[in-house]
Amino acid sequence: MNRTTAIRAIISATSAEPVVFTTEAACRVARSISDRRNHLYLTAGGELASSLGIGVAMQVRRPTIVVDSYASLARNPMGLITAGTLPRLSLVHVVLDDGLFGAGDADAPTGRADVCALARAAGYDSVMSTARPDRFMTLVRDHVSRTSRPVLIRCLLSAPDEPVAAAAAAVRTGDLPAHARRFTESIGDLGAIA
Amino acid sequence: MRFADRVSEGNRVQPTPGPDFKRTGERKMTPLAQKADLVDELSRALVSAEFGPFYATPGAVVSPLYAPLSAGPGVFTVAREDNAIGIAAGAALTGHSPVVLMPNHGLGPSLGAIASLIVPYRVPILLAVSVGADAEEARLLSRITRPMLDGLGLETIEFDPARSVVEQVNRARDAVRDLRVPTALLIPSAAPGRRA
Repeated sequence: MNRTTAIRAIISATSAEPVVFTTEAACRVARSISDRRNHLYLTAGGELASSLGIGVAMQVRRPTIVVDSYASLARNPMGLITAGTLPRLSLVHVVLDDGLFGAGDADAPTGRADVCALARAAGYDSVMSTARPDRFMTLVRDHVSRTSRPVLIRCLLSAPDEPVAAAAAAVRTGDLPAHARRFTESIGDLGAIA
Repeated sequence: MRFADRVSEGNRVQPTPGPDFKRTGERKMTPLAQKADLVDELSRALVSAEFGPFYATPGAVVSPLYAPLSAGPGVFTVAREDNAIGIAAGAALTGHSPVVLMPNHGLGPSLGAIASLIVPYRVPILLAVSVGADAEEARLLSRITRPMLDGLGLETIEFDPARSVVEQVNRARDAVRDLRVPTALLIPSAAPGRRA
């Protein structure tokens, strides 16, 4: 499975639920597949994707999806630890795990950490891992539809991605305030603010 | 009218201190820790202005606002400042006006969160930054706090106990909610000898 296949599955499994995408390729791929109002794309600070998703989930009290990466999670696992302390948090935390520690082909200096073990230790209610696209799609769909507790789904990536036109798919810096407002409006449409 | 004129008129009270700040005289903020009435008024004003939810880091326990807000609307404590800001940003993007209580020594670890998330997305959030002034470390941090916030592009209001609490909180509210400008409220916090 590659990143594009995984993100296509996530988008297919979601509709109006808030979805926070970590930086770089995840955002570009998601935006090129389907640019929805309930998508929040981070252009920097990807290591805060899970924290941001936690903040959303604590308020909307319905499934919120964070599309994290191995690199973002490894840089700042505190979001994982925080979510684990919130047993009623409706958070579907997807980690796209290519085992790399950043953009390009940089290897993680300490190898691939076991994010599933970290999530279990942090207190996540349910932790799963798969490298199969059909299984991944099923897991995401099931948890988006019914989860009321923090769950982590690790998606093991092994195949290269299709090229994405970065210039066309990236959110320009000057457009970020409008992008944030669009996301907020989509949350308001849910009518679920606590 | 420029934002600074509209929101912070009367609050941009000091020029950015330079290297000779100490020699030319520090503007020492009066600690609030022992002024319970004023602290209660400030916490009530924040709630009345519909700020919230409230987040804090462990170091914010010395903030004078920590106790009254914990006893009132509640404070969610997060281990790291940047993560607290990230969680608050999420709350802000659902339509709330969150507040993060943090000591000024937490600004350093938060630079990335502020510069990459709060400022470019114009996330409507208030950082209630407690500022100490007694220990040597606190004095050093106090000198660089305002320049750091200015450099990051946050609107900064130095809380003045001699002025109307409600007026100052309403200025923060106008900045955060109406203009969607991330704002810092500097609060003199530490009791003498305590680390802020």
